Amino acid sequence: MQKVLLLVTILLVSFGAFAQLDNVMGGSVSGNFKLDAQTYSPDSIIGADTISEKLLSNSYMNIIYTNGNFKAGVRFEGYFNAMEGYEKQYNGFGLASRFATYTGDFVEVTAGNFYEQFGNGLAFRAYEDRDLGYDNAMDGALVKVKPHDGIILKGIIGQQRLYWEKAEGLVRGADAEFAINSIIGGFAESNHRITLGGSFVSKFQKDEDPTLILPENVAIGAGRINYSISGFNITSEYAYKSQDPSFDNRNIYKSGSALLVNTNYSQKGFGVMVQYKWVDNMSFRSDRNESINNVLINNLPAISKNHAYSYSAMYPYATQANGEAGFQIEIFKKFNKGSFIGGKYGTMMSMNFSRITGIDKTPLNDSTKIGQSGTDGYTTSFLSMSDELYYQDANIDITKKFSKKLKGVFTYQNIKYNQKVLEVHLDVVEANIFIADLTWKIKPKHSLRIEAQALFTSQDSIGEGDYREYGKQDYGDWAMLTLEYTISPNWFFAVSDQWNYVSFDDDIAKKTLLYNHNKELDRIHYYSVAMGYTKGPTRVALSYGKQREGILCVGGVCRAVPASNGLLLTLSHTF
Amino acid sequence: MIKNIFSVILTLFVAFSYMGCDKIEGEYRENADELLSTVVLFEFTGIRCPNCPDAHIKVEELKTQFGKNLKSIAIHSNAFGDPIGSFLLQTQEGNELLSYLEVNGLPQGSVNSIKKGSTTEMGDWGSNIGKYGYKSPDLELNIEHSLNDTSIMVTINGKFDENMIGIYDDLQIGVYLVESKIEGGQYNGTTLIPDYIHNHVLRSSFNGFLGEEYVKNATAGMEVDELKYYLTLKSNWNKENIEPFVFVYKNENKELIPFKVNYN
Repeated sequence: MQKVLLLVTILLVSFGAFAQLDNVMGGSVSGNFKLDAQTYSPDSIIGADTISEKLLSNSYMNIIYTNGNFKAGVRFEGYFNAMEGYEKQYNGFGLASRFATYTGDFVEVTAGNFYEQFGNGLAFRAYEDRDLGYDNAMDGALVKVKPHDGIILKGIIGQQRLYWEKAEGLVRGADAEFAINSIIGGFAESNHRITLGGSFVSKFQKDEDPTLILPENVAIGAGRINYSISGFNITSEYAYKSQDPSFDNRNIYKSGSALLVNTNYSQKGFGVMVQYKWVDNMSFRSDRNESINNVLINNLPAISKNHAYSYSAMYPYATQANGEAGFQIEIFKKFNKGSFIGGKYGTMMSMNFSRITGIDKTPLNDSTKIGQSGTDGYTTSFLSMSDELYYQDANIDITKKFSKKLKGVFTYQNIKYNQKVLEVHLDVVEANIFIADLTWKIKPKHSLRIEAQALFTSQDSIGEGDYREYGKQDYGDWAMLTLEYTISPNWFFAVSDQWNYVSFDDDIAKKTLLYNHNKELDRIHYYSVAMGYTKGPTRVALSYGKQREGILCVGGVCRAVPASNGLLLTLSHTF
Repeated sequence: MIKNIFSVILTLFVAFSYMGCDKIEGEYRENADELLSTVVLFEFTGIRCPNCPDAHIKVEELKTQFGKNLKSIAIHSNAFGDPIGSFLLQTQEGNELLSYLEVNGLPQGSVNSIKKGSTTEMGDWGSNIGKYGYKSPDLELNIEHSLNDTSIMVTINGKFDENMIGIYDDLQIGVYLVESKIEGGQYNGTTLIPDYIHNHVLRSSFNGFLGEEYVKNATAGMEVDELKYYLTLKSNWNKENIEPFVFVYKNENKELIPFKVNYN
């Protein structure tokens, strides 16, 4: 607790000092900070472990100084100790990031830590998401050059962040992007807009494995094109990776490749988006022995919808770098006021469908298993798809305003989620989810939001091998109700309960994963209360209650969130 | 102007591409010399762990390459070690050791160390074995064991090398029991293999998961009093396939000393 108070004091004092540095040395200081601190009480029923420290906290503070073409910044981070669900290697306090950037008309140079992306990221993306505990910042140099109108060249070199250390590998790369309409005079006014790009990224890591002869230099090359006309746009990128035996691919020597295609068309009140992705053996890290979210050099974006509602996000998709093929279609339609569906105030509807499977892999020969270490692994055909379903999500959202005081969002979703592939246990879970989110404007500045959700898993033959029984998949059925009262613009108060009632049939309920864990039929209530105060750029929120075990994913990058029970304080400020 | 820019960019990309990657052709494997000392690989694994069969293969590859002086023990632990039906290889000692070493994720392994945070991914095991295995042994252990219907007895005799330099202040000895050729479930990726053969599996410990004091102020040529350990057999252990597994480490840093063990 003393450490947390110390950290808060440092943050506040730092802020207090820097907030007054608006015009010092002809420049300005900006930044932000955030503190999350949570108490933990053990709860054997929900699976919340005893946490020796009783209180854990994550915090950071960015301070950026800008003066004309020059910008420099630092970020302090503190993990006293890292909250549950975050890697314990983060424990500690220190200067996690520092950089200096000069931006001129012709060239931009950054020294120190930086984040950058080439194209769609298939070859390179240095990125951070603090909520995911994901940070693969580069520490080195970034140069951007604009030699001609419509041409941007980028070069990077450095090492990636690995908690408080740096990854072993050295990463270097270059990217070139050409906006054809700006380069070729005759195309300047054309409705056809074309951008071409190419990337090349290579990593060096010494071969210290006495059993395998490993490539010390591994590279990805990628090419991309973006074409648009009127409301239509298509973006495509193809990437190829050289031999890269690693922990992820079980030390196979096969090359990798990936294709990503995004198309969308939109006009007033209507839009369609179609995505396609094919991936084979494309995990690329600056340390071949690392795993989870550590030191990823490239990014393979998920092509499933990123859901915000709790139950919609209960079974999220995580990109499978060793091989996946999938597509996503989303249609958006706004029904105008006065129409049959639009009613008096108009109605918005979006439909989304995504389906992702494995790719077809064939053994090299009769004596070599698929993916066998120290071999070329397997063969596959470009754009092949296997019969194994990884994930399927069909959902529809309807946003409807009923009156000047009442509006609602209604969602139905059907998910098929392959737990064997995505969590490595059990089978495909099928869930049907219903959500109603109503906002009632009681009086000026006062509103009440009522959010009701229900999730039903299918009944199936569940279990493993000889131990199968007929019961509810995964943790069974859930119901949830949240009431949130907001007094704009400062206050909100909320109460919520998630009830994992599994099944109202006791015999069925006893055949769930939950019952197998606890050996008791506990229909658990995950209650919570929360309140928050926002004033300008400052936000303080307090919540108390139980958090269910789950997986948090953003853009295909995921982290496990363990069950917890306690008080959470969140404090944030931007200056 | 624009042609020159394109030419420069293209030249740079071609040059960079040429230098940027290595291609390994022909044989992917290489051989290592026989180890001088016994090296112990503590392999943390689990029957529900999807990547652990790869680690088991890796261990066997390492044994083929480094020879008989590489000893491994498969410690089934954490949630990945939860039973499949009634088949269970987890042990209390294994879970205690996993917690003590603060192991995150499986498979993980520690080479010649039970120090906190000493475990690494399997890609590091080979180089760590090489780091420890080419030192001359300071201690030679001779291990014998005998069985009756209900128990196993292990006898340990140790002698420090005549040419050993320095003194070992405080040495600890861990005496475990391992079993091989256990048939049971194991996940490999997403596939459950019902008749997987598990080898070198930690079954129990004779003297706790951290062992106990072995000797203090050990000097060159010193002989250590004979030690005897007993353990009651469990019904699901196959007497034909069990054997002791012994290691000696420095109490101050929990690293194993250079030693050579002979199982008779």
